[in-house]
Amino acid sequence: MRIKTIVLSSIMSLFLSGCMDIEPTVLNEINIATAVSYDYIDKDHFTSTAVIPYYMPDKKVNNVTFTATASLSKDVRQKMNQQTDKPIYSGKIEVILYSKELAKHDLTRMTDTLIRDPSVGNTVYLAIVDGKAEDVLIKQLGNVDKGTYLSNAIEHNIQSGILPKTNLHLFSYAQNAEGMDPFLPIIKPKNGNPLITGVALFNQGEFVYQTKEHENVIFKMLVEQSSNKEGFSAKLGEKLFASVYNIASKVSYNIPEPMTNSPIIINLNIEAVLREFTGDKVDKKEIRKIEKKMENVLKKRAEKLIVKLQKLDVDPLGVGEQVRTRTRSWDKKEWEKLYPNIPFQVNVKLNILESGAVE
Amino acid sequence: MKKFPFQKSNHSLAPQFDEVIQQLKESKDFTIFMFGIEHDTLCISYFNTLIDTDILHRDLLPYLNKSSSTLEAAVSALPIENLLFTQKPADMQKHLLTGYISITMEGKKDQAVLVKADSQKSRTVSLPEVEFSVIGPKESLVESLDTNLNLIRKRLPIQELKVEELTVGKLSKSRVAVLHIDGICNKKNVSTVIQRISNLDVKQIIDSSYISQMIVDKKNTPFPQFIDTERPDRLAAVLGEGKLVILVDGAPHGLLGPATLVEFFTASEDYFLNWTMASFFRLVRFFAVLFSILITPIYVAILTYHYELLPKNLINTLVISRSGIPFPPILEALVLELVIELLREAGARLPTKVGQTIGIVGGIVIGTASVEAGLTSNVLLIIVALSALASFTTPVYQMGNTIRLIRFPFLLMAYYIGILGVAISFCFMLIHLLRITTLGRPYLEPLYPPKLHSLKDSLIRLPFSLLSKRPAPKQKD
Repeated sequence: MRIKTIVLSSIMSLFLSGCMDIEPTVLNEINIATAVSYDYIDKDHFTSTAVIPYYMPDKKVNNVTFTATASLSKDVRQKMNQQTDKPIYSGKIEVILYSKELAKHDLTRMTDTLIRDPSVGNTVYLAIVDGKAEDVLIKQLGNVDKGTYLSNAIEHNIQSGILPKTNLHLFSYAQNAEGMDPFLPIIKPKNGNPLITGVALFNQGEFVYQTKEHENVIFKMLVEQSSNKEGFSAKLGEKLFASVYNIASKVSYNIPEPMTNSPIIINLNIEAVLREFTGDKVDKKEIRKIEKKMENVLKKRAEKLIVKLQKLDVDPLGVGEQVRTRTRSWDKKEWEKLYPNIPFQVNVKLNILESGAVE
Repeated sequence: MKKFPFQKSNHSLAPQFDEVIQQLKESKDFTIFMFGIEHDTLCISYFNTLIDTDILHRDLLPYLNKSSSTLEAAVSALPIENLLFTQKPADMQKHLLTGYISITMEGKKDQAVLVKADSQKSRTVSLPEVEFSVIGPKESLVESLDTNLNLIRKRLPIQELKVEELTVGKLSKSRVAVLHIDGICNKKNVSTVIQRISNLDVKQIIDSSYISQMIVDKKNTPFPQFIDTERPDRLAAVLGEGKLVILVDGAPHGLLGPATLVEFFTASEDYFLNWTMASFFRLVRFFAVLFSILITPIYVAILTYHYELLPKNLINTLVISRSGIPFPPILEALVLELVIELLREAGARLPTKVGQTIGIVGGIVIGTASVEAGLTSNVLLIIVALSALASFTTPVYQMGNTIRLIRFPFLLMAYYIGILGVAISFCFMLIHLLRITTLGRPYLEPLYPPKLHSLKDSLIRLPFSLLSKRPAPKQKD
């Protein structure tokens, strides 16, 4: 009886295995796309370019790009497959680039397919290209595939540069959250080399604004609960410059009366190291002075940036989310009316821990 | 069924001493001679291949009283402590076949004296070869049961150490000893083992592994349920933990049980080293086992189905190593695993000196050549070699074999449905392990059912001060 069951079940599993839809994707028999770009053509069409690294036996990597035009991104893959020797798979895509032109026409439609596809990771980096997205991908830089190159570039700028943490998951979270708007890094092709210039701000899915160079650092400090490693400098007076290297910054919100017109207080605590100072001797008194002056500069920059965001009616900082967590009477529509007119007050506290090894 | 001559004699009503001797005389190595001059001659008979002739010449012949009229008087001066008087011819026959000398008196054929004179031809106690350890005792069991009992008893000089002896095998008449410490060992286990051994209906017991295969709770499993060891110190140590030991005459390995899974990964060296190191090495061993079972299947699964799982910096290496290889990963892996099995089998069958050559030829020549010829990828070669190496870290040889075998179903399932297949196979293995019992005790103890105080000496070994309690307390009888 037992043997009968075993034999039967093994025979059945052999036949039933034909019903399993598992498609083998042997590593060297597929083309693994590592970066994809999308460019705007007209309202319904776009061009897509995929980078596929070809690994040579002498350990060299050749990036090959394939381009196709279509109206839906899955169609694009079919058109690309018609050009390639092996089928293209999207499971290892590291970076997805959208041209600024395309971003102005609602990215939601484009990111929707990425979220639905289980083989695309949630930690994929999305970025906006200031210009033609394809241009970033075409030139080969070094002996790495372009997707890895770009993702490393974004990654190290997140860890110790101007970019706040960003990826597909955070983007779609901010897109769907009630009191928050998404942002993405923005890349500019410069003779084929990618140059990360700042952050692109969105209203839901539509591109609205691109941060200026002096806004980048303060933006990162305001967005992230705690950040570190980025540096910033400020002009303190006539021929007097100071530059500090941020060790740690923390942002916290103080909202005494949520869902009203009363001011929202943002506290920014920064611990930093003095990196560059063009003044005379640095002693404790001098440091207090530098701290005070820089605090003022940062406060002005922050408040200016927030006013700008309010004018654009975007909320990449997630102030709405902060309010929502503090009140029972959350109402999205009412908040949208309130947001542009709420006065913000930023309190910056800078603490310079050391001033370097110079006597 | 063919009947043997000595069985026939049992059927005849009253076999006489003469008849027995006549039957035994058919063998060329049976010696019989008369001793003495008058009518009361002594008749001495023995198998000259079974006895120690020194005993005969030195201790027996010079002390025989040739002129006495009774058998008792004739042997009264013998300097031998244990003289056996018997009136049963069957008894005489049995003893003659196990190395006794029989003395009878012409004319009075109703009685015989049996003198033990078996020659103790066996190896001397030597270094353990299978379970060698750098520190610790360097004695190993030999083929003689009495020597083995001596090696254990001198480590446990207490009266509670009980030895029960049974004879198994219609042809081999092997002596099987079951050892336990009274009061510590579960009596139910002892009686179970004794009953299972005495119920065995076999012709020959050549080695203790015969017994271990025949008396286990679950026979259809690749997992061994008795630890097979050649170290008397290990046997003595586990006797103190309340386990029982089975020794077979002619087998240089003792069995100990009930043994749980984790005990197959403990080496006696674990107790000779400081507990920190011992725990670390044990954890390394468990890691090695998991690595050995899972790494090749995971490689096959990832390369066949889950390229997404690879870190971006590893893809380059893997694609290059796989490029130009005409076989799918599963075929490549199976062929390499089989090559390793071939090498192991060939190495085990060949004499030691030739075996080393095989290792070099196989490892270096075949490996390098097949990579250069583009038949296998070098990454897989490293993985397969490492997993083979990892499987040899198990201290008990039989468990190493098990690990080598159970890798193959994992491999096939990995090819079939990827990582899911590996997970399913692992579940099957876990269920199988949960169903195994050894002498009624769960095989996965103390992991499942969890026994907190036994965990102290399982995956890790805590210092001796914390191990004062026995790992498995005596169960209620």
